[in-house]
Amino acid sequence: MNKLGVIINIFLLLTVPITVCQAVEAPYQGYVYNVWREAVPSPNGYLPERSITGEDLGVGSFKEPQDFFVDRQKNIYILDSGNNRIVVLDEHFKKKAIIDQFYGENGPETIVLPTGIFVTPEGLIYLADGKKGRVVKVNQEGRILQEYRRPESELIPAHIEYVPTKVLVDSSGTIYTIIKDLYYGAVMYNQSGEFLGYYGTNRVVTTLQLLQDFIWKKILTKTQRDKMARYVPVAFANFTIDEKDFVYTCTQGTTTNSSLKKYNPMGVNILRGRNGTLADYGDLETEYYAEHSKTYRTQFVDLVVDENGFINALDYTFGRVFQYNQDSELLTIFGGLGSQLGLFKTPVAIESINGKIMVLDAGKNNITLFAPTEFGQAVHTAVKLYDDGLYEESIEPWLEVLKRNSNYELAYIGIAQAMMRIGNYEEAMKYYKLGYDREGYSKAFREYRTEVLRENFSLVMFFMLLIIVLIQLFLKKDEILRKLGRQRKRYGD
Amino acid sequence: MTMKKVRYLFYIMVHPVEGFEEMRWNKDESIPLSFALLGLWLLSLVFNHQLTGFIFNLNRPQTMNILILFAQSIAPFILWTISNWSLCTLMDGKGKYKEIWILSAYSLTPYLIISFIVLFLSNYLTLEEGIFLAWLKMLGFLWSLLILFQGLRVFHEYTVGKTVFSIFLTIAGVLVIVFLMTLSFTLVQQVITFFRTIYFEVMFRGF
Repeated sequence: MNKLGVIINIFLLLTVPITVCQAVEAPYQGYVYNVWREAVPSPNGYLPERSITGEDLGVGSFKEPQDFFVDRQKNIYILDSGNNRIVVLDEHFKKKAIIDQFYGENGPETIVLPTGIFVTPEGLIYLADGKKGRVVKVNQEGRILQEYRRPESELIPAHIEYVPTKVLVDSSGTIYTIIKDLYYGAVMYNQSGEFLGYYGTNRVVTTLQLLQDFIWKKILTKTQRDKMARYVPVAFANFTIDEKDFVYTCTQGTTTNSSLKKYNPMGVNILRGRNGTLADYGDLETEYYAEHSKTYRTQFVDLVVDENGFINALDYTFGRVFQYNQDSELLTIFGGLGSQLGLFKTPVAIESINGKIMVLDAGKNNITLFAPTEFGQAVHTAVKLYDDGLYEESIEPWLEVLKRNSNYELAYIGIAQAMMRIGNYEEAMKYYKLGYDREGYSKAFREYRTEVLRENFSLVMFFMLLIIVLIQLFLKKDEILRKLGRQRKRYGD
Repeated sequence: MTMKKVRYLFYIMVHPVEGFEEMRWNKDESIPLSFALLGLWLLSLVFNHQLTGFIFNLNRPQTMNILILFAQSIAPFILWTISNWSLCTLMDGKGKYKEIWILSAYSLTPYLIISFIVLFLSNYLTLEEGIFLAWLKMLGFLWSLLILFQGLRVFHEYTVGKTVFSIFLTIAGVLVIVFLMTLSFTLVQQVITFFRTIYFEVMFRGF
């Protein structure tokens, strides 16, 4: 090898890893949970693409933005609460409009620190104006068309201060709003401002502490009882609505299996795992921090359902985004707390646009845009095909997923389902086992067993007959031995 | 000679009273056999943990701990025999410690046989047929319990009612032993810590 060759080789060795590193660099390590509820490393499903600040848009810096919304036309409405304005962007993050003047019937009005925004397909903006205890409907020019205030109803407890924090509107025009500390559910109005009732509610989750307190309360006097903690359901932290009018909620400070919910129009939670039982959301492994004497748990602040139907929930405690499919299968986890691109200070809201995920940060006053990686895209393609029942077509993308992460249990189950559909039960068993799916394995095994028994029918029958004969012989062994003994005696000497 | 003793095992399985009485009369108890049975018990637990069919095995094979399995089987067995012997000697029981040990070990036979059958079948049955295994396991357990009951009755020369009473007392005795052991363990620990502290204090200040 000549000198030039050596130099070129060294040069190649130096450049190749650098470019590769740049392509995969992320300030966080992706992971998923396995069947034993342990966190196992996984390639990142999403990587930060860019961040968008007020300065980038030429509108001056944001000040504690509390919420944002993407409407059907893919306009982004950023609720810049600290500046009391709404910044409207198009889907390419170009400034479209700023709404900072609001007019009521009696002239200009101010809306102070609103916390929730929703925009209907017709372009009507709903704001949760908590400081003034109302929800307002505003048009694109800033004219206040309607106010929704505290309803005159006995169903609203008198001691509760009426502070709407989040708002959404379904396709029939019913308005849902979350009232701070009101745990009966979301308050519903019709368009003309009539109170319709509560929608969906959390229940008190039975914990060991609750049972213990229940026994104590039986024993103690009333005065002592009143000093103990009361158990009431937890109010929703946030909610979102999909195109089919299903309302998804997230709740903080509750058990892992009730922190995310999907309510049907009847107000019943229908979010379940693959086998029909309640699934767990957020981090399953928790760690006790001795210096804070506290165990930090996932606390969801916002969630969004993207165009694939995946549920993306934003965790406030560790700044992570958890992505689930409609069967509550964890697809990927990304994000974190910190100052680099892709990490957050105070994440408050999450939205999706064109297959990408945006997170609004009230501490850093910016939006971070996350784009799916090749691994993430392969997972999405596979899960979509799988959810649509196109099992055979999903094999290819699942294998692509496994090439990048051979610990991805969902992929094994996906391939196993496809093998079941094709009729290759032996392979299905193998993949179900790798995916730790006992029920699926059992189904595949039954088919496989029937197949084997059918193929070796003559052999099976032969052994069954053999066993029957042996049993018969064993039962008559005394008689046979006696006969043999008699014969020996006869011919013996 | 040993074959004869092994044969007692199977005879006792179907005729516990006659079997135990005959064994007692002939003094045919075999200590090695009882140890072999206990060893088989531990082995069956290990096999259950590792070799039960995938559908029914909820254990994680990588996390098997033989000490935990020991604490679930042989340790309670020893406690049981000690507790039973100490209580039944007070209650006019005629059984010696050796006899109690042997009859308790012998009564494991049906449970062990069935648990190996279950282990085998679990590799060839589906989830829906699993109820069959549960019944089988239940059968093995009750069968063993019955033999244990008859054995205690024969060796202690008790009536049925007194046997039941003594069994409940024995279980209570096991709990008391466990409690006392925990208590003495913590106490000894505290005493050791106390002397350790004194030692270190003297070392720091005196020299």
